[in-house]
Amino acid sequence: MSQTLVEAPPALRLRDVTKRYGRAADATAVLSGVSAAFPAGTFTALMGPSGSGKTTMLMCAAGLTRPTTGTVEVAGQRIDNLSDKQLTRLRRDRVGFVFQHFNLIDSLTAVENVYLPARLAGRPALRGRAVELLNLVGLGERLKHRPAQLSGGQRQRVAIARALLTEPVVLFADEPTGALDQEAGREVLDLLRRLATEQGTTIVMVTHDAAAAAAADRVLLLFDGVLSAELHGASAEEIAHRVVSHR
Amino acid sequence: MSARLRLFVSDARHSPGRVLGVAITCLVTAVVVGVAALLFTTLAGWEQPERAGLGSVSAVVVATTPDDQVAGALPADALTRVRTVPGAQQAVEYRDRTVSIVRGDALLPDVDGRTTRAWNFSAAVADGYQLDRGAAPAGNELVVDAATAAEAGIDVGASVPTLSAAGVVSRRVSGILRASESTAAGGPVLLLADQELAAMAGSTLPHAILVPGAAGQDAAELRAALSAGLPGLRVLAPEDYKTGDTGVTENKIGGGINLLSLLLFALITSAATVLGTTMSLWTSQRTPQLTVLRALGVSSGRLRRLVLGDAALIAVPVALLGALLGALPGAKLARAALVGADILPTDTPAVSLGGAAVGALALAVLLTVSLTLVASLSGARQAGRLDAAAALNSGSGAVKLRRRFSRLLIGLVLLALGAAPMLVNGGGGALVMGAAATVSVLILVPALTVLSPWLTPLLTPLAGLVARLDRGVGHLIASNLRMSTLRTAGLAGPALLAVGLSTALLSAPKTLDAGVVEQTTQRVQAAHLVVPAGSAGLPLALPAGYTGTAARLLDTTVQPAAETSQGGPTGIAAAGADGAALAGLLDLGPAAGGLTALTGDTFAASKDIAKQHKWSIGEQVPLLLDDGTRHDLRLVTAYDNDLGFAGVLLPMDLAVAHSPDPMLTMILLGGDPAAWPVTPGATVVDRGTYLDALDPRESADSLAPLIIALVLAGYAVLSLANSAGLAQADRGPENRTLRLLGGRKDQLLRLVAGEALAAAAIGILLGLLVGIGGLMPLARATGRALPVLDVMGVVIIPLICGLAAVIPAVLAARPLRPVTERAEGGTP
Repeated sequence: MSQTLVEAPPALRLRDVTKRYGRAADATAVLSGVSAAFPAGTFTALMGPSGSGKTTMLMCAAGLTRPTTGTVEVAGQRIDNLSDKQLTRLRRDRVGFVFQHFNLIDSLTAVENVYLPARLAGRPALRGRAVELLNLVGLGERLKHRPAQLSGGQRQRVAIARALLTEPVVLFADEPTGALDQEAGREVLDLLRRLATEQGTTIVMVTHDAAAAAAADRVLLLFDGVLSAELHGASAEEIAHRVVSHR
Repeated sequence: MSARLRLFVSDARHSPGRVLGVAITCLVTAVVVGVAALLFTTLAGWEQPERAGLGSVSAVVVATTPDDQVAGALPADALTRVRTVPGAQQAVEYRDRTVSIVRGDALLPDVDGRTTRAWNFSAAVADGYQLDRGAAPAGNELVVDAATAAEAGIDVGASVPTLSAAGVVSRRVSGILRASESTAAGGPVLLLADQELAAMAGSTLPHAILVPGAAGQDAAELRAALSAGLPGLRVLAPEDYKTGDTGVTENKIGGGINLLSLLLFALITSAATVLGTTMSLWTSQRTPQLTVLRALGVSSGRLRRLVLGDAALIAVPVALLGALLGALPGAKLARAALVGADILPTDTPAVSLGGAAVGALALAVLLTVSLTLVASLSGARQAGRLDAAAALNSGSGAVKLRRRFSRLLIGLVLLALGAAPMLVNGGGGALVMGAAATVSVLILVPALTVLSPWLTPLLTPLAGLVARLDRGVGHLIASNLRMSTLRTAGLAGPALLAVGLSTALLSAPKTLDAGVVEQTTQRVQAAHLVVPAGSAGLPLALPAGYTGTAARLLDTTVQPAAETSQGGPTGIAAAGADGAALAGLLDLGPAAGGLTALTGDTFAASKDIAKQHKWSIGEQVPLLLDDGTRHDLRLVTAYDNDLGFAGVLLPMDLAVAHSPDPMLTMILLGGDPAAWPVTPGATVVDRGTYLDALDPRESADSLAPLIIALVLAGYAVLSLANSAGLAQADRGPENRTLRLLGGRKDQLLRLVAGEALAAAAIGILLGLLVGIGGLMPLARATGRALPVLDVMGVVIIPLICGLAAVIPAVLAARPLRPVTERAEGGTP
C-alpha cells in the first residue's frame, strides 16, 4: 500500500515580485524580482537600510498594495489578483498587523480593541477569545484599561493580541519595537518568539534593529529592492556586520 | 516669497480643506454683511420728502407721560401759561382729528396713503401756511389743500361730505390752501375752524402749543426761555414733533431699517461664534506644525502673530472678493425680495454703488476681517502656550484639547442672564411670563451652546445606546462619542444653536397667533360686526336707522399713574366699551361675569394685567387716560380672554371723553345686519368672514423672525459643516487602522456618518428640548397644552443639521479609497 505525502504550502510565498512606481518611462523599481517562502510557524525578520524596499515588500505580501509583476500567495491562495472587497476579507480573516505606533483606538478599552476585528467581522462569539489573548500576552489584569492608561510595551502587546484574534495565517509586524524602549522592546520580541514557537504563528517582521532581527529564526536582507542574503540563527552582531559590510 | 508666506502656502496646499472651511465662513460673512450694509445705506440715504414740519414755528410745547413719552394732550391752562413767557404771546393751540372726504362709499386718502387729518386753522396759519383763495373756515366750513382739492375736483363754495367721529357731515369749502412743498409732502390736508375742532367729541384738551418765532428772535433762546418758564411741560424743536400719524412709506422704511439692524446684530454675533470655532479647530489641527516651529526656536509671541497673520491672509482677500462680487448682486436680490414681501415700499431706490455704498462695502470688509482676527485670538493664545518638548515627546505632536474654565464661566454668566427675564417678570401674568420665557430661551440656547462640552456627556449614553443598534460599528460610535467629548460637543453645539433658536423664534409667534385666533373665536360671539373699510375708524354714534342691539369698541390707552417706567413704556392697550351691551356679543370668560357694572368711574382689566400691576377687584386705581388726565377708577371685574384684545376696558363715555381723536374700532351687532344702513368707510361682515380674515401678524412681523432664524441657523449649520469636516482630519490614522483590521468601506461610512449624526442628534435633541420647553409657559398662557411648532424649526432645520454633519464628515473621511498605504503617524 503506497501513501502519497503532499507537502503543505508555505504560509506565505512571494514569487518574482517586482514593484515599480511612476510611469513606464521613468518608473522607479522599489522591488526587483523578489522571491521568498515563509513556512508556517516561522519567525522571519526583514532587514535593510532605509529605502531598500522592505516596507514595500511587506505591503505586497500583506495585500496592501499590488505588485507590478509576480505573485503573492497566502496559504497557497494567490492574493495579488484579488478585488478590494476580497482583500478586505483577507485582512479581516487571514492576516494580522502590528504597527510601530500600535494604532489602537483610544476610545476603546484593551479588550474592546482586541475584540474590534471580530466586531467588524460580525463574530460576537470571539469575545472570550479576546480575553484569552490578553491573558496570553500578560495583560489579563488590564482588560478595562484604555490605551492612554497603558505603557508603550503594554499597548504593543494589546496590538499583538488584536492581530491574533482571528488566528491569522501570517502576522505582519512593521517595526513593532521602533517606538519602545529597550526593555519593552525585548518583551514584545519575546512574545513574538513565543507565538511562533508555541502557537505556530507565522511572523514576518520589518525592522532596522539588528538586535530585534536576532530574535527571529531567519533574517532576510534586502538591498535596493533585491533580496541579497538569508541568515539563520545569526546573532545581532553578525546581522549588523552583514548590513554594514554590504554598504 | 518670504519663509512665512511659504509656510502658509504649503499648509494651504497640504490641507486645502481646513483653509477652505475658514475661507467659506469669511466669504459668507462678507457677502451677508455687505448685503445688509448696502440695503441699510440705501434706506438710510433715501431722501424722502420732508414731513409736514412746522416750518415757521420756533417751539412746540407738549406734556409728557410718566414714562417720558409725548402725551396725547396738554392741560387746559397750558396756552395761558405759555403766553406768559416773553416772546411767546403769539402761541396757539394745536389739535388734529381724523376727518376724511367721502367720495362715493369710500374715503379719500392723502398722498401718502394715510387717513386724512384736519388741523385747526390757527395752528396752520401760525406755521406759515397760507390760503391760495377763499377765506378762513367758520362754523363747520372746511379748507382743503390744493392737491386734494384737485384730486377730488372741488373748489371754494362746493359742499363736500366728510366723515369724522361725529359721522357724515356735509361741509362747505371756504378756501383752498396754497400748494407748497410741505403740503405736497403730507402737511395739513384739511383745516377746520378752531372752535369746530375743539368741540368735536373726545378730549377737548389741545394736543400741543405751537409758538411761532418773531422776526429776529433766536429760536433756541425762545425754547430755553419756555423750558425755564414751564415746569412740568416739555419744549421741543419743531422738527422733533410729529404731527398726526406716521405714513405707510415711513413705517415701511422704519420697519426695514429695524429688520436690517436686527439682522446685522444676529449676523455679527453668529459670525463671531462660527469663526471662533472654525479658527480654533484650524489652529488645533496645525499644532504639530506649530510645535515644530516652537522647537526650532520661534518665540511664543511670534507664533501668536503667525496664527493671526494667517487668519488675515485668508480673511482679507476673501472678504474683498465677497464684498466686491457678492454683496451688490445679493443686495439687489434682497431688495427685490423685501419689496415683493411688502416689507419695503415699491419705490425703494435701486441699490447702486454710490459713495455711501462704497463706504458700506469697505465697512463690511473691515468688519469681516476684524471678526476673523478677534475670533482667531483664542487660537493664537492656544498657539502661544504650546510646549514644544512635551508635544514632540508625545510622538504625535497633537495637543489634547481641554474644556476651558473661561468657557464654563462665560456659559454660566449667559445662563444667569437667560434666567433674568423670568425672574424680573416673576410677578407678571401668564402671558408676561410666557413672553419672558421665550426671551429667556433666546439667551439660554447660546448659553447652553457655550456649555455644550459639559452638557453633551449627559446625553452621549443615550446616543450610544441608539448607535449600538448597528452591531458592526455601533460600539465604536458609542465609545468615540463618550471619549471625544469636545469633538462631540463641537458638532452638538451648532446643532443645538440652530434648532433651539429656530424652534423658539419660529414657533413662538405661531403659538401666540394660534392663541389669538382661538381666543378671538371664543370671544367674538356677535353674528355680525361692523368694521372700518379703510384706515379711518367708525363714527361714534350708531346710525339712526339701526334699532337692534350693538356694542361699540374704541381703541385707546391707559397708563398706571402710580407706576414709573423701568426701561420701557408702561402704557396698556385699552378699549372703550358699552359694558351693558356686551353680553351675548363679546365673551370675556366666566370670570368676567356681566360687564353691566362698567359705568362711570370704573374699569375692567384682564387677569394678566391685574396680576402684573397687583390690582384687586374693588380697588381704586389711579390711571392716566389717553389725553394725559388722571382718574381714580374702581376695578369692577377681571376677565380671561384677553389675547389679541385690550388689557383694560373703560366705560365708552369715559374713553371717548379722554381720547384726543376718538373713533370706533368695531361695532358688534346683535340685531338684523340688513337693518344697518350703508355708511361710507364701514362694512358689515359676518362672524365667519371676520374670523377667516383675522391675521394677527403683519407680513413684515412674520418675515423678521424667519429671516433672523434662517441667518442664525445658516451660520450654525455652516459651523457644523466646518466642524464635521475638520474633525475628520484627525481621524485618518483611525480610519486606516480600521480598514487594515478588515473593516469594510460601508462599515467605515457607517462609523463616520453615524458618529457625526449621533453627535448632531444630541444637539438637535437638546435644542428641541430647550426650544419647546421654553415655549411651554407661552403655550399655557395662550390656553394650549403644547406650543404650535413650526415645521421649519422642528423638522427642516434639524434635517439640514443632520445632513450638514454627515455629508462633510463622509467627504472628509474619504473611506471609499482602497487601502494602499501603510498605517503610520502614531496613535489615532
